[in-house]
Amino acid sequence: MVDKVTSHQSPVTSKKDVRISIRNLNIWYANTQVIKNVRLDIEKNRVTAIIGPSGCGKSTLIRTINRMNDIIPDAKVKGEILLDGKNIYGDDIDVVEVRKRVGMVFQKSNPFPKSIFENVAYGLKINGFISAGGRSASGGKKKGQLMERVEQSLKDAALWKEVKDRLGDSAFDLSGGQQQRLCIARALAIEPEVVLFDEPCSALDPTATAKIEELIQKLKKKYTIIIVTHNMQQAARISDFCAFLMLGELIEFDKTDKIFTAPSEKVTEDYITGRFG
Amino acid sequence: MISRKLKEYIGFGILRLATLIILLALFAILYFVAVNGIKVINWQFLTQMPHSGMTAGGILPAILGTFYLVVCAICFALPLGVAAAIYLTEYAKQGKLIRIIRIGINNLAGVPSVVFGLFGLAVFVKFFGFGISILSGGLTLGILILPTIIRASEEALLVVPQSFREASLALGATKWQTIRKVVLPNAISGMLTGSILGIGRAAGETAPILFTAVTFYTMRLPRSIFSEVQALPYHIYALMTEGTHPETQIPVAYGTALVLVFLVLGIDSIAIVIRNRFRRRKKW
Repeated sequence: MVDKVTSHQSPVTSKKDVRISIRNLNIWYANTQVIKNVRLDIEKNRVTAIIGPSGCGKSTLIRTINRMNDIIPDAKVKGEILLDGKNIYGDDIDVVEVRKRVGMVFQKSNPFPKSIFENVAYGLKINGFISAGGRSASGGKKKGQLMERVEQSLKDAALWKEVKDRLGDSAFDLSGGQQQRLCIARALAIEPEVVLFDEPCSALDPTATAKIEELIQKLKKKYTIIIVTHNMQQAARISDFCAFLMLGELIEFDKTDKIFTAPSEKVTEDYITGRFG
Repeated sequence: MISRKLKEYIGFGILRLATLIILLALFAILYFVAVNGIKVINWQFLTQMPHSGMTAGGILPAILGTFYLVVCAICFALPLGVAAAIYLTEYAKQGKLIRIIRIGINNLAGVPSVVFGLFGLAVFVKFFGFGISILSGGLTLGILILPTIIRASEEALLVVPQSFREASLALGATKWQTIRKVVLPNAISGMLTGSILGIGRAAGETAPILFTAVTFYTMRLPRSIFSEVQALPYHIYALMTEGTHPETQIPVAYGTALVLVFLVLGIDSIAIVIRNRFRRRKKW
Protein backbone atom coordinates (compact mmCIF):
# COMPACT_ATOMS: atom_id res chain seq x y z
CA MET A 1 0.00 0.00 0.00
CA VAL A 2 1.40 3.34 -0.95
CA ASP A 3 1.44 5.61 2.05
CA LYS A 4 0.70 8.95 0.51
CA VAL A 5 1.25 10.97 3.63
CA THR A 6 4.69 9.69 4.45
CA SER A 7 5.91 11.01 1.15
CA HIS A 8 6.11 14.43 2.81
CA GLN A 9 9.26 15.24 4.62
CA SER A 10 8.38 16.07 8.21
CA PRO A 11 9.07 19.78 8.73
CA VAL A 12 10.09 19.17 12.31
CA THR A 13 13.83 19.41 12.19
CA SER A 14 15.13 17.44 15.10
CA LYS A 15 13.67 14.28 16.59
CA LYS A 16 14.31 15.44 20.13
CA ASP A 17 12.03 18.43 19.66
CA VAL A 18 9.06 16.19 19.00
CA ARG A 19 6.53 16.16 21.81
CA ILE A 20 3.74 14.29 20.07
CA SER A 21 4.06 11.89 17.24
CA ILE A 22 0.91 10.70 15.53
CA ARG A 23 1.54 7.51 13.61
CA ASN A 24 -0.75 5.83 11.10
CA LEU A 25 -3.83 7.08 12.86
CA ASN A 26 -7.19 5.81 11.63
CA ILE A 27 -10.51 6.70 13.22
CA TRP A 28 -13.98 5.42 12.51
CA TYR A 29 -17.35 6.57 13.74
CA ALA A 30 -19.44 3.43 13.43
CA ASN A 31 -18.58 2.39 9.87
CA THR A 32 -17.49 5.74 8.52
CA GLN A 33 -13.77 6.34 8.44
CA VAL A 34 -13.12 9.94 9.39
CA ILE A 35 -9.33 9.94 9.79
CA LYS A 36 -7.23 8.06 7.28
CA ASN A 37 -3.69 7.04 8.05
CA VAL A 38 -2.53 10.35 9.42
CA ARG A 39 1.09 10.87 10.41
CA LEU A 40 2.04 14.06 12.13
CA ASP A 41 4.88 15.24 14.39
CA ILE A 42 4.14 18.02 16.84
CA GLU A 43 7.13 20.05 17.95
CA LYS A 44 7.33 21.24 21.50
CA ASN A 45 6.92 24.90 22.40
CA ARG A 46 5.48 25.59 19.01
CA VAL A 47 2.00 26.28 17.74
CA THR A 48 0.77 23.69 15.28
CA ALA A 49 -2.41 24.57 13.44
CA ILE A 50 -4.75 22.06 11.86
CA ILE A 51 -6.78 23.54 9.03
CA GLY A 52 -9.18 22.16 6.48
CA PRO A 53 -12.76 22.39 5.24
CA SER A 54 -15.72 21.54 7.47
CA GLY A 55 -16.10 17.87 8.22
CA CYS A 56 -12.50 17.05 7.30
CA GLY A 57 -11.83 15.50 10.68
CA LYS A 58 -9.93 18.36 12.35
CA SER A 59 -11.88 18.22 15.60
CA THR A 60 -11.84 14.44 15.63
CA LEU A 61 -8.08 14.47 15.21
CA ILE A 62 -7.44 16.97 17.99
CA ARG A 63 -9.85 15.25 20.38
CA THR A 64 -7.93 12.04 19.91
CA ILE A 65 -4.80 13.60 21.35
CA ASN A 66 -6.23 13.67 24.88
CA ARG A 67 -8.56 10.76 24.30
CA MET A 68 -11.72 12.82 24.48
CA ASN A 69 -13.08 10.63 21.71
CA ASP A 70 -13.31 7.83 24.25
CA ILE A 71 -16.63 9.25 25.40
CA ILE A 72 -18.18 9.05 21.95
CA PRO A 73 -19.90 5.71 21.52
CA ASP A 74 -18.98 3.87 18.32
CA ALA A 75 -15.70 5.74 17.89
CA LYS A 76 -12.86 3.40 17.02
CA VAL A 77 -9.22 4.41 16.98
CA LYS A 78 -6.36 2.51 15.36
CA GLY A 79 -2.75 3.59 15.23
CA GLU A 80 -0.46 5.29 17.68
CA ILE A 81 -0.15 8.68 19.29
CA LEU A 82 3.16 8.97 21.08
CA LEU A 83 3.38 11.53 23.85
CA ASP A 84 7.05 11.87 24.73
CA GLY A 85 7.58 8.52 23.09
CA LYS A 86 4.81 6.66 24.89
CA ASN A 87 1.68 5.53 23.09
CA ILE A 88 -1.35 7.10 24.79
CA TYR A 89 -3.51 4.37 23.26
CA GLY A 90 -1.33 1.69 24.81
CA ASP A 91 -2.79 -0.89 27.17
CA ASP A 92 -0.93 0.30 30.26
CA ILE A 93 -2.06 3.93 29.92
CA ASP A 94 -4.21 5.71 32.47
CA VAL A 95 -6.55 7.97 30.48
CA VAL A 96 -6.89 10.36 33.41
CA GLU A 97 -3.11 10.88 33.44
CA VAL A 98 -3.08 11.57 29.69
CA ARG A 99 -5.74 14.24 30.12
CA LYS A 100 -3.83 15.88 32.94
CA ARG A 101 -0.83 16.19 30.65
CA VAL A 102 -2.82 17.21 27.59
CA GLY A 103 -5.31 19.96 28.39
CA MET A 104 -8.09 21.12 26.14
CA VAL A 105 -10.00 24.28 25.37
CA PHE A 106 -13.26 23.74 23.55
CA GLN A 107 -14.99 25.45 20.67
CA LYS A 108 -17.74 26.90 22.81
CA SER A 109 -16.60 28.22 26.15
CA ASN A 110 -17.89 25.82 28.77
CA PRO A 111 -17.30 27.17 32.25
CA PHE A 112 -18.96 25.26 35.08
CA PRO A 113 -21.95 26.93 36.73
CA LYS A 114 -19.72 27.89 39.62
CA SER A 115 -17.78 30.96 40.67
CA ILE A 116 -14.78 32.21 38.70
CA PHE A 117 -12.49 30.97 41.46
CA GLU A 118 -14.12 27.55 41.67
CA ASN A 119 -13.83 27.11 37.91
CA VAL A 120 -10.08 27.48 37.98
CA ALA A 121 -9.74 25.58 41.25
CA TYR A 122 -11.78 22.62 40.01
CA GLY A 123 -8.94 20.81 38.28
CA LEU A 124 -6.62 21.53 41.18
CA LYS A 125 -9.06 20.26 43.76
CA ILE A 126 -9.71 16.99 42.02
CA ASN A 127 -5.95 16.58 41.85
CA GLY A 128 -5.55 16.93 45.58
CA PHE A 129 -5.10 20.64 46.14
CA ILE A 130 -7.02 22.04 49.07
CA SER A 131 -7.87 25.58 50.00
CA ALA A 132 -6.04 27.25 52.88
CA GLY A 133 -8.93 26.91 55.26
CA GLY A 134 -9.97 23.45 54.13
CA ARG A 135 -9.14 20.26 55.86
CA SER A 136 -6.10 18.42 54.80
CA ALA A 137 -6.71 14.95 53.46
CA SER A 138 -3.26 14.41 52.00
CA GLY A 139 -1.15 15.57 54.87
CA GLY A 140 -1.48 19.26 54.07
CA LYS A 141 1.44 19.28 51.68
CA LYS A 142 -0.43 21.29 49.11
CA LYS A 143 -2.29 23.39 51.60
CA GLY A 144 -2.49 27.05 50.79
CA GLN A 145 -1.12 26.67 47.31
CA LEU A 146 -4.58 26.66 45.81
CA MET A 147 -5.11 30.41 45.84
CA GLU A 148 -1.62 31.00 44.47
CA ARG A 149 -2.16 28.59 41.64
CA VAL A 150 -5.55 30.02 40.76
CA GLU A 151 -4.07 33.51 40.64
CA GLN A 152 -1.13 32.39 38.53
CA SER A 153 -3.40 30.57 36.08
CA LEU A 154 -5.66 33.59 35.70
CA LYS A 155 -2.58 35.75 35.10
CA ASP A 156 -1.28 33.30 32.52
CA ALA A 157 -4.63 33.47 30.77
CA ALA A 158 -4.52 37.30 30.84
CA LEU A 159 -7.72 37.45 32.85
CA TRP A 160 -6.49 38.27 36.35
CA LYS A 161 -6.77 42.05 36.07
CA GLU A 162 -10.38 41.85 34.93
CA VAL A 163 -11.61 39.41 37.59
CA LYS A 164 -9.36 39.80 40.62
CA ASP A 165 -11.98 41.75 42.56
CA ARG A 166 -14.84 39.42 41.79
CA LEU A 167 -13.52 35.89 41.99
CA GLY A 168 -16.68 34.84 43.80
CA ASP A 169 -19.00 35.93 40.99
CA SER A 170 -20.57 33.37 38.73
CA ALA A 171 -18.52 32.50 35.68
CA PHE A 172 -21.64 33.15 33.64
CA ASP A 173 -21.44 36.86 34.45
CA LEU A 174 -18.34 37.12 32.26
CA SER A 175 -18.42 38.07 28.58
CA GLY A 176 -17.93 35.39 25.93
CA GLY A 177 -14.26 36.22 25.44
CA GLN A 178 -13.63 36.32 29.18
CA GLN A 179 -15.38 32.98 29.60
CA GLN A 180 -13.11 31.46 26.99
CA ARG A 181 -10.02 32.87 28.75
CA LEU A 182 -11.40 31.47 32.00
CA CYS A 183 -11.57 28.07 30.34
CA ILE A 184 -7.96 28.55 29.26
CA ALA A 185 -6.99 29.46 32.84
CA ARG A 186 -8.83 26.39 34.05
CA ALA A 187 -6.89 24.20 31.62
CA LEU A 188 -3.56 25.82 32.54
CA ALA A 189 -4.12 25.45 36.29
CA ILE A 190 -3.21 21.79 36.33
CA GLU A 191 0.00 22.55 34.40
CA PRO A 192 -0.40 20.38 31.35
CA GLU A 193 2.44 19.96 28.87
CA VAL A 194 0.27 20.26 25.80
CA VAL A 195 -2.80 22.44 25.31
CA LEU A 196 -5.29 21.63 22.59
CA PHE A 197 -7.49 24.40 21.23
CA ASP A 198 -10.51 23.27 19.25
CA GLU A 199 -11.60 26.37 17.31
CA PRO A 200 -11.37 28.49 20.44
CA CYS A 201 -12.42 31.72 18.73
CA SER A 202 -15.27 30.55 16.55
CA ALA A 203 -17.87 32.12 18.82
CA LEU A 204 -15.94 35.30 19.62
CA ASP A 205 -15.83 38.80 18.19
CA PRO A 206 -12.61 40.15 16.60
CA THR A 207 -11.41 41.94 19.75
CA ALA A 208 -11.81 38.88 21.94
CA THR A 209 -10.24 36.78 19.19
CA ALA A 210 -7.20 39.05 19.05
CA LYS A 211 -6.73 38.67 22.81
CA ILE A 212 -6.84 34.89 22.62
CA GLU A 213 -4.41 34.85 19.70
CA GLU A 214 -2.00 37.06 21.57
CA LEU A 215 -2.35 34.77 24.55
CA ILE A 216 -1.60 31.66 22.52
CA GLN A 217 1.58 33.32 21.26
CA LYS A 218 2.69 33.82 24.86
CA LEU A 219 1.65 30.38 26.00
CA LYS A 220 3.89 28.58 23.55
CA LYS A 221 6.92 29.51 25.64
CA LYS A 222 5.64 27.18 28.32
CA TYR A 223 3.38 24.78 26.47
CA THR A 224 3.12 22.84 23.27
CA ILE A 225 0.07 24.06 21.44
CA ILE A 226 -2.17 22.49 18.85
CA ILE A 227 -5.01 24.54 17.46
CA VAL A 228 -7.82 23.62 15.12
CA THR A 229 -9.08 26.61 13.24
CA HIS A 230 -11.49 27.45 10.52
CA ASN A 231 -9.89 30.75 9.99
CA MET A 232 -6.89 30.61 7.68
CA GLN A 233 -5.70 34.08 8.56
CA GLN A 234 -5.64 32.96 12.15
CA ALA A 235 -3.56 29.91 11.29
CA ALA A 236 -1.18 32.13 9.31
CA ARG A 237 -0.90 34.66 12.13
CA ILE A 238 -0.30 32.40 15.09
CA SER A 239 1.05 29.04 14.02
CA ASP A 240 4.58 27.83 13.38
CA PHE A 241 3.50 24.65 11.67
CA CYS A 242 0.38 23.98 9.72
CA ALA A 243 -1.33 20.75 8.78
CA PHE A 244 -3.91 20.75 6.01
CA LEU A 245 -6.50 18.04 6.35
CA MET A 246 -9.12 17.07 3.80
CA LEU A 247 -11.68 14.27 3.97
CA GLY A 248 -9.73 12.69 6.79
CA GLU A 249 -6.42 12.66 4.95
CA LEU A 250 -3.42 14.76 5.75
CA ILE A 251 -2.73 16.52 2.48
CA GLU A 252 0.18 18.64 3.53
CA PHE A 253 2.14 19.41 6.67
CA ASP A 254 4.84 22.03 6.74
CA LYS A 255 6.10 25.23 8.25
CA THR A 256 3.29 27.74 8.19
CA ASP A 257 5.25 30.18 6.02
CA LYS A 258 5.76 27.52 3.42
CA ILE A 259 2.12 26.38 3.43
CA PHE A 260 0.88 29.90 2.90
CA THR A 261 3.48 31.04 0.40
CA ALA A 262 4.52 27.99 -1.54
CA PRO A 263 2.33 24.96 -0.83
CA SER A 264 3.47 21.77 -2.52
CA GLU A 265 0.00 20.50 -3.26
CA LYS A 266 -2.39 22.13 -5.68
CA VAL A 267 -5.37 21.38 -3.45
CA THR A 268 -3.75 23.14 -0.49
CA GLU A 269 -3.25 26.21 -2.59
CA ASP A 270 -6.84 26.08 -3.77
CA TYR A 271 -8.05 25.88 -0.19
CA ILE A 272 -5.94 28.64 1.27
CA THR A 273 -6.70 30.95 -1.60
CA GLY A 274 -10.38 30.39 -0.93
CA ARG A 275 -11.28 28.47 -4.05
CA PHE A 276 -13.33 26.06 -1.91
CA GLY A 277 -14.05 25.34 1.73
CA MET B 1 -62.39 32.05 3.54
CA ILE B 2 -61.57 32.98 7.08
CA SER B 3 -58.63 35.26 7.48
CA ARG B 4 -55.37 34.06 8.97
CA LYS B 5 -55.89 36.37 11.87
CA LEU B 6 -59.23 34.84 12.71
CA LYS B 7 -57.75 31.35 12.43
CA GLU B 8 -55.05 32.29 14.86
CA TYR B 9 -57.62 33.78 17.17
CA ILE B 10 -59.72 30.60 17.12
CA GLY B 11 -56.62 28.44 17.58
CA PHE B 12 -55.38 30.31 20.62
CA GLY B 13 -58.93 30.48 21.92
CA ILE B 14 -59.21 26.70 21.94
CA LEU B 15 -55.86 26.33 23.69
CA ARG B 16 -56.83 28.91 26.27
CA LEU B 17 -60.17 27.19 26.82
CA ALA B 18 -58.47 23.84 27.41
CA THR B 19 -56.22 25.40 30.03
CA LEU B 20 -59.21 27.04 31.67
CA ILE B 21 -61.15 23.79 31.86
CA ILE B 22 -58.23 22.10 33.57
CA LEU B 23 -57.87 24.91 36.07
CA LEU B 24 -61.59 24.88 36.66
CA ALA B 25 -61.57 21.16 37.40
CA LEU B 26 -58.69 21.61 39.81
CA PHE B 27 -60.37 24.43 41.67
CA ALA B 28 -63.70 22.62 41.67
CA ILE B 29 -62.12 19.65 43.44
CA LEU B 30 -60.33 21.82 45.96
CA TYR B 31 -63.44 23.90 46.56
CA PHE B 32 -65.68 20.87 46.94
CA VAL B 33 -63.34 19.18 49.41
CA ALA B 34 -62.75 22.40 51.31
CA VAL B 35 -66.41 23.34 51.63
CA ASN B 36 -67.42 19.90 52.82
CA GLY B 37 -64.40 19.29 54.99
CA ILE B 38 -63.73 22.60 56.65
CA LYS B 39 -66.58 22.16 59.12
CA VAL B 40 -64.92 19.33 61.02
CA ILE B 41 -61.41 20.77 60.93
CA ASN B 42 -60.20 22.11 64.20
CA TRP B 43 -57.21 21.63 66.45
CA GLN B 44 -58.65 18.53 68.12
CA PHE B 45 -59.31 16.96 64.73
CA LEU B 46 -55.65 17.22 63.86
CA THR B 47 -54.12 16.28 67.19
CA GLN B 48 -56.33 13.71 68.83
CA MET B 49 -57.09 10.03 68.61
CA PRO B 50 -60.43 9.05 67.14
CA HIS B 51 -63.18 7.75 69.36
CA SER B 52 -66.84 6.77 69.29
CA GLY B 53 -66.38 4.50 66.29
CA MET B 54 -64.52 7.06 64.17
CA THR B 55 -67.35 9.54 64.32
CA ALA B 56 -65.69 11.86 66.78
CA GLY B 57 -62.25 12.85 67.95
CA GLY B 58 -59.32 13.39 65.65
CA ILE B 59 -57.37 11.70 62.90
CA LEU B 60 -53.85 12.07 64.29
CA PRO B 61 -52.91 8.40 63.80
CA ALA B 62 -53.90 8.58 60.14
CA ILE B 63 -51.91 11.76 59.56
CA LEU B 64 -48.83 10.30 61.22
CA GLY B 65 -49.34 6.97 59.47
CA THR B 66 -49.40 8.54 56.03
CA PHE B 67 -46.41 10.69 56.90
CA TYR B 68 -44.37 7.68 58.05
CA LEU B 69 -45.37 5.66 55.00
CA VAL B 70 -44.31 8.45 52.65
CA VAL B 71 -41.02 9.02 54.46
CA CYS B 72 -40.29 5.31 54.37
CA ALA B 73 -41.15 5.13 50.65
CA ILE B 74 -38.93 8.10 49.82
CA CYS B 75 -36.03 6.82 51.92
CA PHE B 76 -36.17 3.60 49.99
CA ALA B 77 -37.01 4.79 46.49
CA LEU B 78 -35.05 8.02 46.17
CA PRO B 79 -31.51 6.66 46.63
CA LEU B 80 -32.33 3.54 44.67
CA GLY B 81 -34.02 5.43 41.84
CA VAL B 82 -31.31 8.07 41.60
CA ALA B 83 -28.59 5.43 41.61
CA ALA B 84 -30.35 3.48 38.88
CA ALA B 85 -30.81 6.64 36.81
CA ILE B 86 -27.13 7.53 37.15
CA TYR B 87 -26.15 4.06 36.08
CA LEU B 88 -28.53 4.03 33.12
CA THR B 89 -27.57 7.44 31.74
CA GLU B 90 -23.94 7.84 32.73
CA TYR B 91 -22.37 4.42 32.94
CA ALA B 92 -24.31 1.77 31.08
CA LYS B 93 -23.35 1.15 27.48
CA GLN B 94 -26.39 2.27 25.52
CA GLY B 95 -27.73 -0.69 23.62
CA LYS B 96 -30.46 -3.25 23.37
CA LEU B 97 -30.27 -4.34 27.02
CA ILE B 98 -30.57 -0.79 28.33
CA ARG B 99 -33.51 -0.17 25.99
CA ILE B 100 -35.26 -3.23 27.38
CA ILE B 101 -34.57 -2.10 30.96
CA ARG B 102 -36.04 1.32 30.14
CA ILE B 103 -39.14 -0.21 28.62
CA GLY B 104 -39.45 -2.35 31.73
CA ILE B 105 -39.24 0.68 34.00
CA ASN B 106 -41.81 2.55 31.96
CA ASN B 107 -44.14 -0.40 32.07
CA LEU B 108 -43.73 -0.59 35.81
CA ALA B 109 -45.26 2.88 35.90
CA GLY B 110 -48.35 1.57 34.16
CA VAL B 111 -49.00 -1.36 36.47
CA PRO B 112 -52.26 -0.89 38.43
CA SER B 113 -51.54 0.04 42.01
CA VAL B 114 -53.57 -2.82 43.46
CA VAL B 115 -51.13 -5.20 41.80
CA PHE B 116 -48.33 -3.53 43.75
CA GLY B 117 -50.42 -4.10 46.86
CA LEU B 118 -50.61 -7.83 46.15
CA PHE B 119 -46.91 -7.92 45.40
CA GLY B 120 -46.15 -6.18 48.69
CA LEU B 121 -48.35 -8.63 50.53
CA ALA B 122 -46.61 -11.63 49.00
CA VAL B 123 -43.05 -10.34 49.25
CA PHE B 124 -42.71 -7.92 52.15
CA VAL B 125 -45.50 -9.03 54.44
CA LYS B 126 -45.20 -12.78 53.95
CA PHE B 127 -41.87 -13.68 52.41
CA PHE B 128 -39.69 -11.25 54.37
CA GLY B 129 -41.99 -11.52 57.33
CA PHE B 130 -42.31 -7.77 57.92
CA GLY B 131 -46.02 -8.27 58.60
CA ILE B 132 -48.63 -5.59 58.10
CA SER B 133 -46.39 -2.67 58.91
CA ILE B 134 -45.05 0.75 57.97
CA LEU B 135 -42.03 -1.00 56.51
CA SER B 136 -44.04 -3.28 54.22
CA GLY B 137 -46.30 -0.44 53.11
CA GLY B 138 -43.45 2.02 52.67
CA LEU B 139 -41.45 -0.42 50.55
CA THR B 140 -44.52 -1.18 48.43
CA LEU B 141 -45.17 2.53 47.90
CA GLY B 142 -41.46 2.94 47.18
CA ILE B 143 -41.61 0.46 44.34
CA LEU B 144 -44.72 2.18 43.06
CA ILE B 145 -42.95 5.54 42.77
CA LEU B 146 -39.60 4.16 41.57
CA PRO B 147 -40.39 4.59 37.87
CA THR B 148 -41.39 8.22 38.42
CA ILE B 149 -38.17 8.93 40.27
CA ILE B 150 -35.97 7.06 37.80
CA ARG B 151 -37.49 8.76 34.81
CA ALA B 152 -37.35 12.24 36.33
CA SER B 153 -33.76 11.65 37.45
CA GLU B 154 -32.73 10.42 34.03
CA GLU B 155 -34.24 13.47 32.42
CA ALA B 156 -32.53 15.71 34.94
CA LEU B 157 -29.19 14.06 34.16
CA LEU B 158 -29.69 14.31 30.42
CA VAL B 159 -30.29 18.07 30.47
CA VAL B 160 -26.92 18.68 32.13
CA PRO B 161 -24.93 19.91 29.13
CA GLN B 162 -22.47 17.39 27.72
CA SER B 163 -19.94 20.23 27.58
CA PHE B 164 -19.74 20.24 31.40
CA ARG B 165 -18.80 16.58 31.39
CA GLU B 166 -16.23 17.14 28.66
CA ALA B 167 -14.70 20.07 30.52
CA SER B 168 -14.38 18.02 33.67
CA LEU B 169 -12.96 14.94 31.97
CA ALA B 170 -10.49 17.07 30.01
CA LEU B 171 -9.13 18.34 33.33
CA GLY B 172 -8.18 14.83 34.34
CA ALA B 173 -11.24 14.12 36.45
CA THR B 174 -12.42 10.57 36.62
CA LYS B 175 -15.93 9.72 35.51
CA TRP B 176 -16.98 9.36 39.12
CA GLN B 177 -15.53 12.76 40.09
CA THR B 178 -17.28 14.28 37.10
CA ILE B 179 -20.61 12.83 38.10
CA ARG B 180 -20.28 13.76 41.75
CA LYS B 181 -18.92 17.28 41.37
CA VAL B 182 -20.36 18.49 38.08
CA VAL B 183 -23.29 16.39 36.92
CA LEU B 184 -25.15 15.71 40.17
CA PRO B 185 -25.11 19.25 41.58
CA ASN B 186 -26.68 20.41 38.33
CA ALA B 187 -29.20 17.61 38.12
CA ILE B 188 -30.40 17.59 41.68
CA SER B 189 -33.18 20.12 41.24
CA GLY B 190 -34.72 18.04 38.48
CA MET B 191 -34.38 14.93 40.59
CA LEU B 192 -36.25 16.64 43.41
CA THR B 193 -39.04 17.53 41.02
CA GLY B 194 -39.34 13.84 40.30
CA SER B 195 -39.57 12.97 43.94
CA ILE B 196 -42.19 15.67 44.47
CA LEU B 197 -44.41 13.90 41.97
CA GLY B 198 -43.60 10.64 43.69
CA ILE B 199 -44.48 11.94 47.14
CA GLY B 200 -47.87 13.15 45.96
CA ARG B 201 -48.61 9.81 44.47
CA ALA B 202 -47.34 7.81 47.46
CA ALA B 203 -49.36 9.82 49.94
CA GLY B 204 -52.59 9.47 48.01
CA GLU B 205 -52.50 5.80 47.07
CA THR B 206 -54.83 3.41 48.86
CA ALA B 207 -54.50 0.08 47.10
CA PRO B 208 -50.78 -0.57 47.69
CA ILE B 209 -51.09 -0.09 51.45
CA LEU B 210 -54.42 -1.85 51.75
CA PHE B 211 -52.89 -5.29 52.32
CA THR B 212 -49.49 -4.22 53.52
CA ALA B 213 -49.70 -1.47 56.10
CA VAL B 214 -53.05 -0.16 57.15
CA THR B 215 -55.66 -0.92 59.66
CA PHE B 216 -58.97 0.83 60.13
CA TYR B 217 -58.41 1.58 63.76
CA THR B 218 -55.58 1.35 66.23
CA MET B 219 -55.62 2.32 69.86
CA ARG B 220 -51.99 3.40 69.82
CA LEU B 221 -49.80 5.53 67.67
CA PRO B 222 -47.23 3.54 65.70
CA ARG B 223 -44.17 2.76 67.79
CA SER B 224 -41.79 1.31 65.23
CA ILE B 225 -41.56 0.60 61.53
CA PHE B 226 -43.09 -2.78 62.27
CA SER B 227 -46.31 -1.25 63.59
CA GLU B 228 -49.43 -1.28 61.53
CA VAL B 229 -50.85 2.16 60.99
CA GLN B 230 -53.86 4.15 59.97
CA ALA B 231 -53.44 6.19 56.82
CA LEU B 232 -55.41 9.08 55.41
CA PRO B 233 -56.55 7.65 52.06
CA TYR B 234 -57.58 4.38 53.63
CA HIS B 235 -59.30 6.22 56.44
CA ILE B 236 -61.46 8.03 53.89
CA TYR B 237 -62.22 4.78 52.13
CA ALA B 238 -63.17 3.07 55.38
CA LEU B 239 -65.34 5.94 56.57
CA MET B 240 -67.27 5.94 53.32
CA THR B 241 -67.77 2.20 53.04
CA GLU B 242 -67.93 0.84 56.55
CA GLY B 243 -69.55 1.80 59.83
CA THR B 244 -73.12 2.51 60.70
CA HIS B 245 -73.30 6.28 61.09
CA PRO B 246 -72.92 7.74 57.62
CA GLU B 247 -74.37 11.10 58.66
CA THR B 248 -71.44 11.72 61.01
CA GLN B 249 -68.83 9.67 59.12
CA ILE B 250 -69.12 11.48 55.80
CA PRO B 251 -68.15 14.93 57.11
CA VAL B 252 -65.17 13.32 58.86
CA ALA B 253 -64.19 11.73 55.54
CA TYR B 254 -64.25 15.12 53.81
CA GLY B 255 -62.24 16.62 56.63
CA THR B 256 -59.71 13.83 56.23
CA ALA B 257 -59.57 14.43 52.49
CA LEU B 258 -58.87 18.10 53.09
CA VAL B 259 -56.06 17.22 55.46
CA LEU B 260 -54.62 14.78 52.92
CA VAL B 261 -54.66 17.42 50.20
CA PHE B 262 -52.90 19.91 52.43
CA LEU B 263 -50.39 17.35 53.66
CA VAL B 264 -49.40 16.59 50.07
CA LEU B 265 -49.25 20.29 49.21
CA GLY B 266 -47.14 20.85 52.33
CA ILE B 267 -44.61 18.15 51.49
CA ASP B 268 -44.51 19.40 47.91
CA SER B 269 -43.81 22.96 48.92
CA ILE B 270 -40.90 21.90 51.10
CA ALA B 271 -39.42 20.10 48.11
CA ILE B 272 -40.16 23.07 45.86
CA VAL B 273 -38.32 25.41 48.23
CA ILE B 274 -35.30 23.10 48.24
CA ARG B 275 -35.43 22.82 44.48
CA ASN B 276 -35.63 26.54 43.97
CA ARG B 277 -32.65 27.06 46.19
CA PHE B 278 -30.62 24.76 43.96
CA ARG B 279 -32.06 26.24 40.81
CA ARG B 280 -31.10 29.78 41.72
CA ARG B 281 -27.48 28.74 41.55
CA LYS B 282 -27.68 27.41 38.04
CA LYS B 283 -27.47 29.73 35.11
CA TRP B 284 -26.91 28.24 31.74
